[in-house]
Amino acid sequence: MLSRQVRSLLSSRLFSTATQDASSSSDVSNVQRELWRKPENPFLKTPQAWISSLETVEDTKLGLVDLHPDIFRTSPRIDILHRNITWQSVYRNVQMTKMLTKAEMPGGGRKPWPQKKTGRAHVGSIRAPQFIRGGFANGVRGPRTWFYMLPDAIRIQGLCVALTLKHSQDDLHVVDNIQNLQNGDPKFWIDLCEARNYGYSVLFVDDSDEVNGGLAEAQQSLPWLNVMPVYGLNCYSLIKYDTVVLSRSALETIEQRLLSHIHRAGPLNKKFRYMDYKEKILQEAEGEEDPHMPPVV
Amino acid sequence: MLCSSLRRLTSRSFFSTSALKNSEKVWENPWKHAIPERTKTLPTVEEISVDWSYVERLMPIEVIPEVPKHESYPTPSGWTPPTELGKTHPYFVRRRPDHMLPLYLERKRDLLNENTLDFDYVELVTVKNIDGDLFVSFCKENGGIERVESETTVKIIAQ
Repeated sequence: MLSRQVRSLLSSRLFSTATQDASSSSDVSNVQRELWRKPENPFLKTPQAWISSLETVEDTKLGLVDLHPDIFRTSPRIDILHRNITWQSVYRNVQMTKMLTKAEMPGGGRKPWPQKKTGRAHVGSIRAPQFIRGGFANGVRGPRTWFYMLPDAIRIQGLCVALTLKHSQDDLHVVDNIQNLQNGDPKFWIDLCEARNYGYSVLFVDDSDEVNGGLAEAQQSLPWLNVMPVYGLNCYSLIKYDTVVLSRSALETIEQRLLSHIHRAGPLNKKFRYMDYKEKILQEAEGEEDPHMPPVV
Repeated sequence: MLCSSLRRLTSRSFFSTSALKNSEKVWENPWKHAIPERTKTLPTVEEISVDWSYVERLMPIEVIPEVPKHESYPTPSGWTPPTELGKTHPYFVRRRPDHMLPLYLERKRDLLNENTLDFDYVELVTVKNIDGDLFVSFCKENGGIERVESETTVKIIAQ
């Protein structure tokens, strides 16, 4: 959903080219794409990407597209990328174990034997840590979260850095269309990825969150081939998959959204509270059903 | 007046037209007549053209807009737009998204003054986002470079 101001700012420039793209899919890139608020830096070269087709095994190049340098040619801040990836792995962790202390264990209020003359150790309660079935002295205490939110600016820059690294290392491809492809044969897709040197795993990113056609069939049977909508884009997935393939519309959407956040009017350091996200995090895996693993509670 | 309005109310809520049409007696289906039938009436929808510009201009700005054209520069606040001359140097300093120069002031603790036994403080200006030839050109033209922080950042002693 475009905000009304982004819409008005972009309508005069991008939309004219976008409507042209929609009408003539064959000249999908021959129209020179006007990049919104392109930096005027004479030292910055505009990165470009080939647009190919997924209909045949061979890479048929349909054209060339300009990418926005603020997103696809930022400085390669690996420290920021690291922060993003560790944050993604860690901020949803919830620990439920609570190790009871000697005061919380049942019983153990009475001194089991007198202090002197028994020849046994000096002991105050049957549930002290030295006893079997006793409490823990410095155990893991209670529900605990590792929740924290990275500032918006760091997360935006993390995405830009991940996309920059993928593009500069030749792992980013742009494709004209992902929906309603003809061939759903897994063998065809294996041959395609082999011929184009996609690597160990491929991630297809599309504008909409539904896939129809050949790709839907293929990604069911191949575990290393996955499809994702634009709103699911994250640093961890971008680095995990060897190759990332964007559809043309997905590329436009990603650029629009990231640029609108980079040029946002307000501050980029909103405070987040765990209580606002607690339910969402705890219910994350509710709808998931795996044939082998037990359900997550 | 009052009794007619009451009759209208009772007729609307307690007696449904369908029961009268089917001519079902009250004792044949007492529950139906005990619980009044709830009929939903959807209101008619009519779109009225409203000039939303009066509301939109009061809403907060989401994206930083371009700076409007002024007659003369610098503006009363002291702002100058980026010029073509800026691109002729062997280096380039890129502006921030809010059209300001990337200059940041910092007050750092310097050496201990032996006479007063107080720390001397020095004011440094950090210039970020310098592309191109940092060492030779930028540092030469702007003397008094305290140190070079990174490939794109430099600290200058403020005069």
